[in-house]
Parts: sequence; C-alpha cells; structure tokens
Amino acid sequence: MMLFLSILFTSVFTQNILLSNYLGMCSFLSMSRELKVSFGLGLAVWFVLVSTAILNWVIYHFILLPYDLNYLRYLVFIITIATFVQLLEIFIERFFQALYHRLGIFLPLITVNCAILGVSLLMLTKQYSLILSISYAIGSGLGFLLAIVLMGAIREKLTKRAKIPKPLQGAGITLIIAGLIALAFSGFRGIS
Amino acid sequence: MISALIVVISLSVFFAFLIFMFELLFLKPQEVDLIVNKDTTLKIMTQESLLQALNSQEIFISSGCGGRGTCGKCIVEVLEGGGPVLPTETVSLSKEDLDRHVRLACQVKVMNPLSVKIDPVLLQVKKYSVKVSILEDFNHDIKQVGLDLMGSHLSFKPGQYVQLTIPPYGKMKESISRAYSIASSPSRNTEIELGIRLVPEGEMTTYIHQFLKRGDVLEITGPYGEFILDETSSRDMICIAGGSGIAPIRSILSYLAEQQSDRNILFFFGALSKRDLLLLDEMEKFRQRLKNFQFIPALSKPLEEDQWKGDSGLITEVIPRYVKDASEMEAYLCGSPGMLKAASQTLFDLHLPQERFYCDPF
Repeated sequence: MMLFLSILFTSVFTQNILLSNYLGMCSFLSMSRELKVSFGLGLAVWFVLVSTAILNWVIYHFILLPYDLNYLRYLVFIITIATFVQLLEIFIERFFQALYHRLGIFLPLITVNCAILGVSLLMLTKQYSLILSISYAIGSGLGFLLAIVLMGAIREKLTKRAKIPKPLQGAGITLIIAGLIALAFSGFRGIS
Repeated sequence: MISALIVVISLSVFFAFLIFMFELLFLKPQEVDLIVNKDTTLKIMTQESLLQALNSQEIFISSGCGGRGTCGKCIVEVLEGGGPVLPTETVSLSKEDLDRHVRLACQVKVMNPLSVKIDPVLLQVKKYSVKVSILEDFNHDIKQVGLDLMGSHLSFKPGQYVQLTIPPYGKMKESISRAYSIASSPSRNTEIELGIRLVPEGEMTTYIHQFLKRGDVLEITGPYGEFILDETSSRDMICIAGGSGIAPIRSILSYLAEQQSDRNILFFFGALSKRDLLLLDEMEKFRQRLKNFQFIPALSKPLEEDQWKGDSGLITEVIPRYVKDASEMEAYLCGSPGMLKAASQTLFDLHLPQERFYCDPF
C-alpha cells in the first residue's frame, strides 16, 4: 500500500510525466489557452492514459510475453490507444458537444500524445506489477492534468491582465512559463 | 511469425468491434422532434445536418454552396437545441444574428430535439421535377438552360432564383445543388430559363456544360430571394450586371416589356472583351419594345479585333458618363461580389439612397 501511494505521489509531483520527462508537450502547449478547455483535455488524457495502461499491461503480460512477441508492443499499444481515443471521441461528441468542438483536431490527436504511450512503455521498463502500474498511470494522468490546468489558468490570466512584449507573445511566453513550472516542480525533488 | 499475425489481427478485430458497438450505442440516428415556428411538430433523424433534416421534411432552405458553410445563405433561427455555434458559422454571421440565435442550417448537427423559426415565405417553397428543354450557348462560357416544369406552375417575382440539383456524376458521391437566378419572365410559369456560366473546375457547372443533355430530368426548389423588382415604383432604373448576372435583369426587363412600361431604364453590362457579351439581339428587341430603354455594354479590356466603338473602361468609370445624380433613381445589381462592391460605391457617391439599392451577389 505504501508503495502504491509513493508511486502515485512521485508520478504526480517529483516525476511528473510532462514536466520532468517532457512527454506530451504538443497538446500541453497548444491546448492550454483556456482553463476550461485544458481541464477537458486533461481529463480526456487521464482517462485514455489509465484505461490503456491497464489494458496494455494485461495484453503484454498475458499475450505478448507468453508468445515471445515482445517486439510487437509498440504496434499493439498504439492500436489500444487509438481504440480508446475513438471510444472517448464518440462519447464526448454525444454528450459534450461544446467541448468536442473546442478540442477539435486535438481530440483524435490524443492518440499520438507521447505521454500515453510513454506511460505504457515506462511501466514495463520499471517492471511494475499490475497494481503498481495502475497507481503509476493514475499518478501520471493526474500529473498531466495538473500541469495543463496550471498552464491554462496562468495563460488565461496572462491574456487578461498582462502586457506581453510582442516578440514573446504566443509560443515564446508559453515555453518560458512551462520552464518555470518545471523548475518549481523540480523543487519537490529536493536537493541531495 | 504466424502467432504475431494472429495476435495483431485478432486484437484489431476485437477493437474494431468495440468501436462499432460504441457507435451503435451512442451515435445511432434516432428520431427527435423538430418544432417549426412553435406550432408544427415534425419528426427528424439525428446525426444529419439541420439543412438535410429540413429538406427531408420538404422545407427547402436555400443554400448557394450546397451545405459547405461558405455562402452563409441557409440561415435559420434556432431557438432550442442547436448546440454550440461553430467557428465556421461565426464567419458568416454578425453579432446581431448571433443574439437572435440565427444559425447556418448546414452547420447545425441534429443531436437533440430542436425548435426553429423559419420565415413563412420559405415554407411556401416547393420542389419541382423539371425537364431540360433548351440547352444553347449564350456566349463562349454561359449556357442558356431551359427547364420545362412538366405541367406544374412556378409563380415567382422577376429577380428571384431557384436551387437546381443535379445527380451524382463522375467521382461525386452525392447530388450537388446550387442557386441560379431565373432569366425568363414570370408570365411564363410553366417553363423557366437559367443562364449558367462555366466555372473552371466547378462541380456543378462542369456537369451542365459537358454532360447535361436535352430531355434530362432534374430537380429544382424555389422560388427564393429578395432581389425583386419593385413593381409599384415608376422611378428611373439603373441595372448593372456582369457575366451571368444578366439573368435576373433579363427577367426584370422581359416583365417590364410585357407591361409596356415607360420607365427610364439604363442597363450597364460589364465585360472584358466582345466575346463576353451576350443577348445583344435581345437587348435590341427590348430597345424597340420599351420606350425609354438604353443598353450600355462596357468593355474593360477590348481586343484589337473587336474594333470596339462603344464604351470602354471599368463599369465604375462608365456609370458617371451617363448618370450625374442618382438620388431619385433605383438600382438593381447582379454580378460578382467584387464588381458589385465597386459599382455600389459609385452609385452611393452619386447620392443613390440605400433603401432603393437592390443587390444580388453570387
């Protein structure tokens, strides 16, 4: 249980998938203009990340390993992820029309969000059990959600309040903020 | 190797099945209520666009571009259940439109029960089957298309247009429809004529110019449009047209000729060179039948072999040569948006009042 919690918190704060592994940057930078949208995307990514991590763990350990098909894992994992994104897209289109149109192309693009494939692959490298993988996936998903919501809130405030110098507007200031948040998160790690 | 194939294929099949079931569960077309003008309730299917749904209920909203969201004509007031306004709509709709809940019917996807408000005039619009009775060249790129209404009657006002639908052809999978002004007089209500210019790589006009044959049966809906001759007025008229924009003006002139009108009419027609002119002999007939009619073709780039003796220059340069003060006149314009914009500015500079300015851009 302790290990479960420790992995959960580690992956949210000290080993945040976005801010320390720099995975999933593209949607993090482009879908963080408004708090509401970034929260929606964060939740969507969280859902896909957790459900595919579980499924991928099961497929890997019960299908790929026994038949010695380790090399197929990239292909199979991507198929799983693509499927879940499709399911999610159908669900959001039916019940959250506004979010569906706001996310636009970035909804299907969750498929190629590196954070999701990253978690599925990293949990294998780290040789986690199913329970620990779940905790790792939940934590990483929350970490992504936390980071993108922080970014969304900061950028929303910035556009309302701050006068950003012209050369820094858009990508420039966003990357600087991302760096600052990452720096702050590295503080969780402490100095040894 | 074989086990790898089996694993990949069976996983793919399983996931495809999962997606299929999900779609069946959530995105299956269902029947929902559509309330029109708060009094009529119709049943429509979800997953279609509102434009298609209304069409299937025999309510024909005009759509110049055939449902791609580019012409901005298929406007409907959606009171309830329209979902969020899309970026494709905000381009064509003004802020007042949005405040009145005006939407583009082709961009609204039916998901929930809807309540809409539709201009009662549009509820009068009907669908007609027509047979191609005339197919001749007006000039090198404009075709005269005569459509026999096969026994039905279409009553319209001079200047209005119809929506013409052609069946799928070549690589097209769906039928296409576009709006065309009626070029014939309203007194002939069993057969109408259109003037259709070939648009390079245009899906619709390529079909009409290359594949359409006499005797073919097509569909039209109509009549539409507020570009209508003011029959109560006896003021001096200015008509301005370019290319196939001559069509509604021809309808207006035929009508006035039948009424033996003695109104002063100046008709400016803008073209590049002589080969772009059309209906010259008909204009000559109008000159004989109408007491005070003057046809002024203006060529902006006359060729040397044209030996052009008439007016040359852009239409904006030619108008002031004939009109000094437009404050007591009314104007009817039909042509490309660019030409209309320039010509309307010229007219307003000549003090034409806004309320007597009728315009039909295409």
